[in-house]
Amino acid sequence: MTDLAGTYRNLVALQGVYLDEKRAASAAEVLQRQHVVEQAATRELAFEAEPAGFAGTLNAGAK
Amino acid sequence: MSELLQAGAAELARMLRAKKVGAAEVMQATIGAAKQAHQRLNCFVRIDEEDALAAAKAADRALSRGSVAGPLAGVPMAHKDMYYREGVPSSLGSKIGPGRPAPATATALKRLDTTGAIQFGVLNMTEFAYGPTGHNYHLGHCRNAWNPDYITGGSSSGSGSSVAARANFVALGSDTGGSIRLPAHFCGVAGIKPTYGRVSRAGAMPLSFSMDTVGPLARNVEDCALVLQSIAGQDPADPTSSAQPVADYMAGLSRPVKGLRIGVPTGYFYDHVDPGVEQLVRGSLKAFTDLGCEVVEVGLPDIEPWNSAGIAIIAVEAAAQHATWLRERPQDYSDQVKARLELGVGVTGVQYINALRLRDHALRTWLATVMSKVDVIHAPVVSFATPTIAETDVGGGTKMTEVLGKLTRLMRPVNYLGLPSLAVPCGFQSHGLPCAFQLIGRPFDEGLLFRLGHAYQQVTDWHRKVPSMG
Repeated sequence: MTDLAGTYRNLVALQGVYLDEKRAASAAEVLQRQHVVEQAATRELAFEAEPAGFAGTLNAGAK
Repeated sequence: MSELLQAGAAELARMLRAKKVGAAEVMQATIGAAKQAHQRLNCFVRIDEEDALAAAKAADRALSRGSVAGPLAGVPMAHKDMYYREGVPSSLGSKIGPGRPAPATATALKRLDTTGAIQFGVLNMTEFAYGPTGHNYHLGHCRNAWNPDYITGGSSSGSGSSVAARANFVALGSDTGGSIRLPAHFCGVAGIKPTYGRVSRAGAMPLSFSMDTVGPLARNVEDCALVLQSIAGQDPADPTSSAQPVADYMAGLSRPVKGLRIGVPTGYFYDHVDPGVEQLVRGSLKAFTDLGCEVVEVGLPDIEPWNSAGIAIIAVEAAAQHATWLRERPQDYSDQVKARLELGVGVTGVQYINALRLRDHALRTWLATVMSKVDVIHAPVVSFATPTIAETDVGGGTKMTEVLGKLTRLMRPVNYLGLPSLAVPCGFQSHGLPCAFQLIGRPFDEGLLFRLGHAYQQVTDWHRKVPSMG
């Protein structure tokens, strides 16, 4: 098991969920991949951006 | 198949009001077809024969007195088994659900009740609505009416399958990452995923509160419009439901579509698309051109991060919703759903909040760069040929993320953006399974999607094709 998979396994175990090594390795790999994509996207976000803006934009987007 | 079962819901409602057919007669025929379809497709969880027939007889009496004005009076419906009726347990497609009597009736069901529609059963679904294929390891896999070896799509598997088999007129589904549009595509029926907040989620099983939407699957676009008309609108029981006024979808259905601009994306939606699927989806554009629409190519912003952020949001919210059961009853989940929930437990708080922070920016970008140029986007629902149940039986193993990710890739960004999307059948793939396109609109512009989808169905007959149930 890689360090990353082991860390992941410990992180979820802290929350009461126990994974075998294979499952932990697979999940850690998936999350790392997703994280790279999202990190690149959020780098461009304004420091002030907040989740609450979404509902307003959705309503304002109606014709 | 009985002639009574050929009509759409809106047409049937008109026939019932004109007393050309009786509600009890239609209900009897529907229940017969449902029992037959279920044997082959495993699409129902429960059929409430006695209650439904009693309600249909009452509807006949009321119709004969002229005292029923509901637009769907006497129309039989069965819904995904995640819409609560107070005191009645819903399976939620799971082992855990049947032990929990529902706390209150779903707003969507209450609103359908006021239209006079009669619920006669509940339908198979993916366990906790968390999966895009239609597999269910507790209730048995739901099967495609066009060929039972193939997937129905999920998670509204029974909704797609029963409506396609003409064993049901309309079925509520839910769409968090494609769960209405995927079964509509795979089963050859119409399905509307409304704008986030358009329909109350109160009394509907939660999966991801930021992404869940409620909508119908039906035999045609007109039926989708009629049902959405009945269930849409603000609801005090759901604080996330929108105060935006609900347009008169039915009145707008037959307005001309000439001059409307239909955008065809140049990237993402057509990346890695199967040539057979591409031919069918692009081929459907000719009908719109013939109707006087302007079809234009549109470049898209980078959507990949939005898909990824959508995955993170659903994963975390689902894991939070299930946290107690996941700790205390892990053995009661199927391997795949458990694996997906476990994935959500490991997403960090920072990643989750950033996925939510990015959402507003993503929607602004989409509205400014895409929807400023066109009225709707026309795109495939799925980019590859419909697979079999066996081919997609990946459980929670290492291929799971890849297979499920491929299935939902063209769906989830639309949920992330909160936009409405209508799936409309547009032909058959070389192995005989149906294919659909999706029309993606501006927020709360479901009426325009219905208008375009209905216009398409006035000049094509894919929605009238019925699978053989022999």
